[in-house]
Amino acid sequence: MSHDCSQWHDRFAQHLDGALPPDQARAFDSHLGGCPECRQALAETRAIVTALREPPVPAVSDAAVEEALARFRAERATAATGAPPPATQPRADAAGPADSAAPLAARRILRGLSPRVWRAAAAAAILLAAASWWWGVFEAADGRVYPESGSFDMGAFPPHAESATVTVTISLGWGQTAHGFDKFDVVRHGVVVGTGTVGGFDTRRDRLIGRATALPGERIRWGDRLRFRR
Amino acid sequence: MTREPEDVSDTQLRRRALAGGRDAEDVPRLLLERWRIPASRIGRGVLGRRPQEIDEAFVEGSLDALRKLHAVPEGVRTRAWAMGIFRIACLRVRERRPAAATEPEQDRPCEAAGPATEIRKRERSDRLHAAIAALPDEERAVVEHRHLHELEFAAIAQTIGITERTVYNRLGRAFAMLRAAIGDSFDLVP
Repeated sequence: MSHDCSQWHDRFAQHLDGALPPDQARAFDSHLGGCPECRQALAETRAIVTALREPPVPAVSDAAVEEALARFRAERATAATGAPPPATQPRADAAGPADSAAPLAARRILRGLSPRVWRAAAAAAILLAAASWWWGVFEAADGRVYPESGSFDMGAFPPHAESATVTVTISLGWGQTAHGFDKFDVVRHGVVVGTGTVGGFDTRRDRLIGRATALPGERIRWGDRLRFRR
Repeated sequence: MTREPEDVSDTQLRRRALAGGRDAEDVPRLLLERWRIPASRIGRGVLGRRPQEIDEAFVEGSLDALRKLHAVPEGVRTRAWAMGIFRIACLRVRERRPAAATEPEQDRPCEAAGPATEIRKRERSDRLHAAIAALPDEERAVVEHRHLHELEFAAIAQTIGITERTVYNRLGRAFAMLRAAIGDSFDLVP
């Protein structure tokens, strides 16, 4: 394989996505015309990409899509009419009592507060959320090892898994949104043995539990630690 | 199964939903249709070949994501964010699985294809994913983000913290390794 071929092989992904600039696409087509090796390699790459794009087995069913849509529309319709939301499955990791479970007396007091008090409370909440967000980011960015008491969830992972997932408790405080995507190192006996990224999602309702996605393989084991970095 | 054209991103659809009005009405369905394939791949990875559990996680996770669409942080790709939520739903479903359950993995019958085709596709998929798992970290990450999670190139670059050009280069190297690993045994005809 010539240097020229190697250069084009790096652009197969762009070519198959139609993302090559027009001048490069013309040059690529011209090269392909005279290079059977590249044509073969491109055909193999296209077959791989086609296989990767095939719907996975098993795929989410049509019924599941319709159920999710129907439940979402029902919730929205209920919210629009002001009726109480339909009962949903309780979350295993729900963060504290729901509004409906608040003591009646407390709710009466809250209803009696003036708009001015509400505005002040809202401003204070925003300030607290902002403060806790930065606190959380700095904690994650300063190289501190998380978590001292966390657990990893690799034991039951299926051997054919496409990606590995670990569960890690991240104390970001104040229930703010855990913003992704931060990177982390997997540390074993003080040595970095792998890397991953932590996803972004709302932790408000998840009892401040963060989920981190690691690269697949068996690099993460029980007792390993994650060190976050920006 | 309908697929939306890629020139309309999930983030654009989200903005349309938040803007309200008649244009917003079809957004939940469009998003669900776009999420089902990457969600299936994540579901298969976390839950194995258990279609009922994958469906359960999809309903739970996609509902969560649709409810929280307004809360996607600025600068975060909606698709990647939604898949993060779906992954959590998968983990919840797995945690709810009874400890004693030993239900074997199974495949949903493929209505369009015969059993032989189905088995061939499954074997090919297993071989391909084994080869992906054997890739070096950097190359494996871009293949997963692009083809399993269906992130756009810009989102991959943002997620990993590299340039788009580097994403292409790593994908090029990854494909070369995959060709070397499975080239002869891989059917060129799907």
